[in-house]
Amino acid sequence: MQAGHRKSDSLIYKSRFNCRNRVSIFYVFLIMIFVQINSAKSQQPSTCITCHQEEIDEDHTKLVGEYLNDVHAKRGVGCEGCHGGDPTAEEAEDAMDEGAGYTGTPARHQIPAMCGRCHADPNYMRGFNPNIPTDQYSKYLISGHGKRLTKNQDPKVAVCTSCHGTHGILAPNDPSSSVYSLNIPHTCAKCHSDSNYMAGRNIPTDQFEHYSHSVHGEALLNRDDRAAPNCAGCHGSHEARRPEPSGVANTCAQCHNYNRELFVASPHNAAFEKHNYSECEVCHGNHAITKTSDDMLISDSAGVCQKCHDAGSKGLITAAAMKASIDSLKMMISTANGVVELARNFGMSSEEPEYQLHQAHNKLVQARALIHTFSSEKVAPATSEGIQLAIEAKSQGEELMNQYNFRRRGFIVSVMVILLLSVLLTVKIRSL
Amino acid sequence: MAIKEFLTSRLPIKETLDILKRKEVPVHRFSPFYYLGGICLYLLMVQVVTGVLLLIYYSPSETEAYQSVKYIMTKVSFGWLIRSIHAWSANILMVALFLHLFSTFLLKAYRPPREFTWMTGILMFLTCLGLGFTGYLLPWNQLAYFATKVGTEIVAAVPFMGEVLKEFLRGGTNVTGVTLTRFFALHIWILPMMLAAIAGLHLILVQKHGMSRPLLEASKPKKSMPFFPHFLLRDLNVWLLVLAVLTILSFYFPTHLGEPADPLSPTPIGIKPEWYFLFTFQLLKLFPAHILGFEGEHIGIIGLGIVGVLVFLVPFLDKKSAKDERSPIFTFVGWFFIASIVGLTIWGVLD
Repeated sequence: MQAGHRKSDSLIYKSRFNCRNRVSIFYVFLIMIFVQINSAKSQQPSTCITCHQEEIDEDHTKLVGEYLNDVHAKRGVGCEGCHGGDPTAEEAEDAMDEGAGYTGTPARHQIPAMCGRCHADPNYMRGFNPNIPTDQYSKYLISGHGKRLTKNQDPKVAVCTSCHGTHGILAPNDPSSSVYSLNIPHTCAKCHSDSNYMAGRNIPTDQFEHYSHSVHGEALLNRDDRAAPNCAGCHGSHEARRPEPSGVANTCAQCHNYNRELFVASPHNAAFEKHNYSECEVCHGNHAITKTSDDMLISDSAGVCQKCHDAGSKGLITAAAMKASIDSLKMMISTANGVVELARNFGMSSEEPEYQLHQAHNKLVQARALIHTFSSEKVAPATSEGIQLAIEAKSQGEELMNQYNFRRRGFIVSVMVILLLSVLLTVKIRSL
Repeated sequence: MAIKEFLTSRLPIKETLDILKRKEVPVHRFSPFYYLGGICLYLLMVQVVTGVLLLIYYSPSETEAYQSVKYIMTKVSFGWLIRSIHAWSANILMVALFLHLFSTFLLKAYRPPREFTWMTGILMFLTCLGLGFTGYLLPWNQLAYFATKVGTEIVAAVPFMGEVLKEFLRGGTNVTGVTLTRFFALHIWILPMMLAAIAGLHLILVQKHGMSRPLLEASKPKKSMPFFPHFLLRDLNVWLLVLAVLTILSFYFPTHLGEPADPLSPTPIGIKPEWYFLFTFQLLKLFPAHILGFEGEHIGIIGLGIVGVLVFLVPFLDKKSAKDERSPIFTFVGWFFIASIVGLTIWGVLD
């Protein structure tokens, strides 16, 4: 009886299980169909691509080709991200229907805000890269470009696409990107070197020409030195604008911090502020900054101090004293270097005097930086120490040359003695 | 005169000179080759003297070796000269050893009863190669470090026990300070003691059997000169000329120290062993990776070993020479060895 009970219970259980199981399987089946449909839908190629790639004209084909390499395309941001519309619709009318959110080609003045929809949204952007900055749009609004766009309604001013491109936007660290550090000067020059394009804006168009011949441009453009500043290095990128005269030193100090500290502590700082002079720029220039030379202190061709200071003035006397001090160090280094090089060329081990010369050269660099104190008393200790080091190097070089001459004399004498002994032995052998 | 009398009455000077005066050295067109043995002996003495002087300042540790050699070259009086002479005389010694070995081989001077003189000579040659290999590492510069690394790697190709031998030489899996100290011990103590013993035996055998007269001169009238003073003075004259060559080379081409060894840096491109190992290095490179299922390098090492043993035993293999008959096959083998070694060395230098 008990066994019959158990059997009937088991049957009931089985039938309930089977019933529940069937329902579950049905639901799973439905979900799978739903997922499959959605998956198929999401894997469908964008109809924007299919139509614009083949069915319109060559320009569109090229545009789609660029887009397929675009950083947005690679991160899954489709055409609808900027243009709206329905990329799944089969018919062009449906795909580009305003009801589907289609906005068409954005007007130039709409572009910064359009890009900012995503790029200024930290929550959205962190999905791609948690460290990506999202302040480009706000910075753009306070930039020279942004202000001209929003306040002056300038139709030609740079917007995001002017620098980054439109359908072929690459990541900034991609060497082919128009905003890759080595390419930025060329990108800016597209507009800023075009006198027709820049007409009526009261901005010179020779910046790139000057920059490309400058010490910075030579390093960046000719030697691919990415540490050298490009346009954005001094002007900023999204926040680009002309530096204020009082902010020039801060701009240069991003790299030349020691010189700035010396300048700020010098008597020139107050005077420059009083006259609203552009700090570093007054002596070194801006885009055309050339390699500095000691002649900038005082000389007919390159002297910059005499531009403001009269002949016989305290300023020019100080400049002449600083130059004399530096020149004497340079001369001493040159003399010592000649002696050490001679010893090295004769195969002598010249590491020690070379190290001393290296130290002397460091003092020369230090003395040149100390020019920014505009005090000959502050330059003198560095040059004196450098001269002392160069004198030591020279005397070590001379000692090496003395050793070399001693070796040469010893060599000649010993070979002569050996050969004389050999001759004597030969005479003796023949006499046997 | 009083001093001479004082010394001769106490030391066996007269007896020794009498023996040397009685000793005759054959005179013929190949006589200049007799000086090669004396040159080797002289250069070995130069090596010992300069080596001992270098030892005064040299410090055999990973951290100090390079600096101590630098100190010798820059601060110690004549240190640069002593190191240069040590390095140059080692190279000239290897040249003299090769010439001595091959002249002895081609002139069949290994004929009875000089079999052991030949065998001790071969052992001396191998010991000198060992001294060159171990001494090269001691300055602990980049070139020495990586050349030793490549050289000890070749040892690993010895079949069955290669890895064990390599680790034994290196004192571990890699070339380190431990390798430096054991190479130092080998260079200044173990190998020189072995060399002194073998060289002593070699010289005794040379004195016992005298200089060998070549088979080519057998039919000609026998001429000779007394060893003392005729040959000895000529020997001294040659030594003086070798000293002049050493002085000129040391002055015009002083040995450089290079950069200190940096085990973390990549192996410099085209690193090669010293020139006297270059022919074996180049020969091993000619072997394919596999020969009949065996490692090509293993076959190469075994082949070199067999050749070495055959050369060592050549006095017992050359039956014709032993009977004072001409043996053109061995003459051909000798010239073949010379051409191969010279050709492979030049190829190795240019490669």
